[in-house]
Amino acid sequence: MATFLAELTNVFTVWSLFFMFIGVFLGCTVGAIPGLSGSMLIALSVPLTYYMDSVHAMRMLVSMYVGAISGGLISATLLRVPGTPSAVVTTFDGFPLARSGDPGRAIGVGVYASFFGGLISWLFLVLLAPLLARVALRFSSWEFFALVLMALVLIAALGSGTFVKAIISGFLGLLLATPGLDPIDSTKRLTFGFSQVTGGLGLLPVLIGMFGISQMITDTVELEKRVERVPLKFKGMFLTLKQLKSHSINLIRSSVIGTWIGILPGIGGVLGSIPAYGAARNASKEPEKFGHGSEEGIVASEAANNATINGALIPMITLGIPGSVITAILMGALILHGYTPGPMLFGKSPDIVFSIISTALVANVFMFVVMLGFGMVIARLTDLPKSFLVTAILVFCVIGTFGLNNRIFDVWLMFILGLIGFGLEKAEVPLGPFIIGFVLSPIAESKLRSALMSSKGSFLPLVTRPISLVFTLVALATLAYALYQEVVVPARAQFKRRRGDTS
Amino acid sequence: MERRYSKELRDIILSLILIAISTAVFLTATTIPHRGYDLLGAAFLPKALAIGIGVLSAGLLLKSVLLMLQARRTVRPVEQEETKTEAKQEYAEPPYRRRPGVGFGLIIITAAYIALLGSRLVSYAIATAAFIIVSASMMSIFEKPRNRLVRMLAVVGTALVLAYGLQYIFTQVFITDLP
Repeated sequence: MATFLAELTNVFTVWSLFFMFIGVFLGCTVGAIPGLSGSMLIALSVPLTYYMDSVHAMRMLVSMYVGAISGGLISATLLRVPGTPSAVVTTFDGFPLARSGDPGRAIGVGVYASFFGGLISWLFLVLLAPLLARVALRFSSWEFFALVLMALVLIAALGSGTFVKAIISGFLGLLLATPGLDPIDSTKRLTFGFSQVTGGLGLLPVLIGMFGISQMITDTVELEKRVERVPLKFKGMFLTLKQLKSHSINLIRSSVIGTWIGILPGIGGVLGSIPAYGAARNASKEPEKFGHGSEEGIVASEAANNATINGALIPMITLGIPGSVITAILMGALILHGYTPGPMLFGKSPDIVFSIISTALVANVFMFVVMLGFGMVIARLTDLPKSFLVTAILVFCVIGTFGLNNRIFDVWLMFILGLIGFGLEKAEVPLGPFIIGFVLSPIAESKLRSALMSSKGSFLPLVTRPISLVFTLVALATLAYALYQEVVVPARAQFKRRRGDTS
Repeated sequence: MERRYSKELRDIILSLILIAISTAVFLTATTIPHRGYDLLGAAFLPKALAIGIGVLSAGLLLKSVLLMLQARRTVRPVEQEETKTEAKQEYAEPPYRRRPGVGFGLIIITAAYIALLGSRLVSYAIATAAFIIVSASMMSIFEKPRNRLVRMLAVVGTALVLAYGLQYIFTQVFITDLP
């Protein structure tokens, strides 16, 4: 507690506030520009933070995360294009409300909801993270392996795209992390004669290639994409206490839903807002307004997607398992700065843990200020020509990747992975499981192999140890559900259709 | 007809590529020595993943082929369905022309830029400024700016500021050896 309070006071130093503000502003801007994503911004910023103090670096990256998820609200409301995937549900009501002549109100409601969503989920982060870390200290290799297994199945089953393609994507990510020296006996494997691969494929070329290069190619192909715009007005942006009070139950419910979905390993903000939106519609006195500019709909979606941020930070800090794609990148940043995410992080480096937690709170306040104060400026930035954005981002991709090891090999690797990422996206293979697989591969392999060494080759502890049994059962149940949805449901529908045709 | 099978065809190509990759990885993994330090050895994970990807890709291939054959056998009101989908898409986002050629051009220019940096024939700033001017000018043609001259000046200005600015930051502040 003393460390936490000390770290909380450290937040208020000039440099900390500066990096957090920059992070939030950049995050909100990138989140608001369709075609750019928070994952891309954070992946591109990681090499720059390499030269920074670790605490400041994590403050800036976490602030970018908060900003990027929130910034999606602007384009979702004014352009009907979600700036981030998590803002998809906001388009349902945000755009109709803005087009009906109330754009300020639509943005205002969304910003307040995002702020309270972040605040409520932050309380969960503060209360749950230390408890979970203490429990996780008792985990053996079996529990960690079962947890990684569960995380991979969950993201494949509940993420975007078909289950089979998502699993293939996860496997490809796991496979891409295997070249180099074996983590247990240091045998050289799958280097294909490249000495540069001996140390393994770097996280940055993979992240920047997959999220930067592939997205830039997509944006170039869609160069002529135009969207309908609603100009932003200040009128109605600020809510009164009475107006806030009318949304209080919806705010709390949606924030709690978002937090818990965020905690589930491997699942990001998109999924948080869907059940929250459904629950708000079911509980609403005016469900018919949903989809036609309902304020309740905006509140549910925005509170939930911002709540997933702190939810997703919980498993990252305490278990070393990313709660979303962005937290997978944040985990990579922690590793690059010499930290090992997981239950030991609380004991070994409380400064970094508490700086992440305190940043999550202060960045949320900055987000509120930036979105209300600079919303108009950020909305205008969405007009920037793609030719400028794409080329500038490509330059940053190249210099960021090169700067880490001073190797042009890494730049080529990033470029090739970008082309692969673009191809995978065109084939509707989601990239989320790929990145999470890549980050989790070393943990999964070393934990499984050391677990098997301790059990003399027996897999039985996976089901005889209660916690690993729970994780394994959840993984199996999710797997069964996903296969049922992908194989049985379509087959049944087709059978019914055929029967209908013949009768 | 081409449109009707495009998804299945794409999945068939994807699964064939994945099967080829997984076979290559599996064969290479068989050459990894097992030092006997632990039960599974260094080759286990690459082999297991190669098998996993291969099996799943084979499943995807089978499903796509079956769907394609089924679509050929059944007569569907294709035109009506396509019109409906188009109408739905128009509601979701205004129609626009995709430019795969420009995307391909950008890939070539970026590859040339990386090769130029690797060759160390010119300084980082010159290579970067040239890259920005060439690629942004190419894309600007399709963005149809109101005033081409102003746009060109903006492109050149951005190129010089970004290229020399980054060179200064990385060499003087971060003390990094740029190509």
